[in-house]
Amino acid sequence: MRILIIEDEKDLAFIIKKGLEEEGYIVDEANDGEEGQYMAENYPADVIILDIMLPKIDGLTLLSNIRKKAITTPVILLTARDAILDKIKGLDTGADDYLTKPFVFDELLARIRTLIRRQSAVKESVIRIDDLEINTATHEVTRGGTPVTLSAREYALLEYLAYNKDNVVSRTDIVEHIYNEESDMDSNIVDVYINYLRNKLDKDHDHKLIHTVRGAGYMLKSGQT
Amino acid sequence: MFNSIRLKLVIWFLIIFSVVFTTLEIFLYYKLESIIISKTEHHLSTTLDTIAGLLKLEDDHGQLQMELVELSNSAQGVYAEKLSGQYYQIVNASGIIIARSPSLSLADEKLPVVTNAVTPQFETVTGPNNVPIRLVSVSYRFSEGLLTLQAADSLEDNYKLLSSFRKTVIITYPVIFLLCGAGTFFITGWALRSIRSFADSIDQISDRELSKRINEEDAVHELKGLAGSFNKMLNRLELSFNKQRQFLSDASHELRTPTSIIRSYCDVTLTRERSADEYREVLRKISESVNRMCNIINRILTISRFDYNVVSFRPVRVDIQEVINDVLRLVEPNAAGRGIKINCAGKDVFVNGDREGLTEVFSNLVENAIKYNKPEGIIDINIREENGYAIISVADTGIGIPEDEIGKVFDRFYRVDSSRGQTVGSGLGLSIVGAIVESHGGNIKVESTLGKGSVFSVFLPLENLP
Repeated sequence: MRILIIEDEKDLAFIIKKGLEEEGYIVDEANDGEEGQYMAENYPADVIILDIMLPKIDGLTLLSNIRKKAITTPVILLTARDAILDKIKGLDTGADDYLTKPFVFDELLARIRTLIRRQSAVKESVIRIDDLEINTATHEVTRGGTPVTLSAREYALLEYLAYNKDNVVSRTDIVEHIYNEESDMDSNIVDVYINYLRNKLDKDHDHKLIHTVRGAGYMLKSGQT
Repeated sequence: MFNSIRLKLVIWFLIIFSVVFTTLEIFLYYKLESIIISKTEHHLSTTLDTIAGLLKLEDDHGQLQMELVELSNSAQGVYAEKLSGQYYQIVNASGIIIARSPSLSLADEKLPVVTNAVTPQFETVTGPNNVPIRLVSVSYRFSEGLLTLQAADSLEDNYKLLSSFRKTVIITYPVIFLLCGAGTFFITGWALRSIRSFADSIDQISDRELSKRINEEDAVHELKGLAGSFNKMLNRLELSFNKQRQFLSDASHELRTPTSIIRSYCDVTLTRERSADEYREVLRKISESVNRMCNIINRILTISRFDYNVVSFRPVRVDIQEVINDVLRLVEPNAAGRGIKINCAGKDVFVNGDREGLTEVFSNLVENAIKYNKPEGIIDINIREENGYAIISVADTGIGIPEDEIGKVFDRFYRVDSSRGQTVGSGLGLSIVGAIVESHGGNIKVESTLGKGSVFSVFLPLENLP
């Protein structure tokens, strides 16, 4: 899952980014409104964390700008202001959630998960596909009751596929959602990671979950084929 | 209760009413009495004149005795009636009554005897039948020697008149007193009602609706001035209230950023085991944020100190040149680090003020001039005096301030475009400068050209030389 942080306070942006990356998210960072708007418009993210007080373009203007361009990415507003009217204004402008600084990091994580779930067909924090269980809160993955250990990148790929279960995701989608703009990824590397996942999840099972759709991409699919 | 305007008005009105009414009644009473007495005296004098005239006439003809008998026996009208209340008698030099009016003789009464009254003597005495009378005695010289003619009128009827006047006053007094009191009570209540409705409209202005104003047009004439004063006070209150609210919200916003950095560093770091180096780095960051918070808090305290004059400084004679020299020593390393050259020109000027505060003022201005200057820039400091003011200007060759933002530089937490990454400092510096300069009775002026630089000029009143 890919997250864009737009926050002018660099120290804060840095630590949020670090914390989210440790949770397996792919994080892009922008330090002012202009850069943030460019990133939001050109790098599709799953969630945007947006500070209200930003230089150049303020957060609310940025939000209404991207909503006008039909970008529906869920937005969590992050701000030092907690006036109730500001919250209402923010939500009216098109924000999906609101966090007041200083916030508890776990709460930010929980809200990000909620927003991602809201976007997907999956409505629970534990995603089940046949005997595969993915706990999005703890990042614990089991297949047939046996725990599976995944690297952060592998987990991110699996989670992305799981949120889009029974749907085909293209290599480009995958690159866009699990790699940040700094890593200049060749989409072929996706195949490498898909192989890693297959080794850990499907190898010992007759019932395969990860499917290759020729010419289109990959799909995590329940039920027998 | 006793501190009510209404009650006081009523009491005062009644006191004044009583004094005026009583004085008036007493005056009228004595006036009436004196009118009665003088009327009686006039009548008595006329009677005596007539008797004296008759006696003189008869005496000239040698028939005084006959006339005296005539006066005693053949009087007419009231003088002939027994105890009619109008009397006369004639007394010789030895005090023997030689003639008296039938009104006396019929009852065998006499008037108090007076002899030798060369000038007319008037007195009020108790006469026949224990009735008060006004008695006039005048002595005339006749052929038989000095005769004193005496006449008296009863005052009984007149005294009855006076006593009924007194009774009327005493009966009507409490009635009028009560009516006037009640009248005043209602009139003041009516007059004070407009004050009550005025108070009601003030009550509607709570601290949440400070922008409301009293409608001066609606106020009664006498309260228009008060309404105006109230509105002016509300303007001042609203202004300072808004300033405070803005300041508080800015201050808390400013404190929230370092707080959330600390919080997030702690939260993220505690999610798993870290290396010692990582912990060290986190602690360094946290300590940086704490420094930032302390800085903000100190500056907020400085501002409120000068704003509310919590610490009223004792003005001393301060040499501006010395203050500037101190400041230059302070900022030298910083300026040298950015290759900025500082020129200082001017003469010794003296002001009365707080040396520490003034050092704070100029170090803030010079630090800003360094911070917002271009590298290798120049700062010109000029000290001069003009029209009783010391003028100290600090000019830089920096980024300048956009025209529409010049008015805002003294607002708390204002910063020129924080996107330039120069977010060092709390944005409180210039508002501290403003507060200190104001507390010295001075003011500060800013001129700026975007891209070329800004000039901050501080005006301070010169010391008063004896």
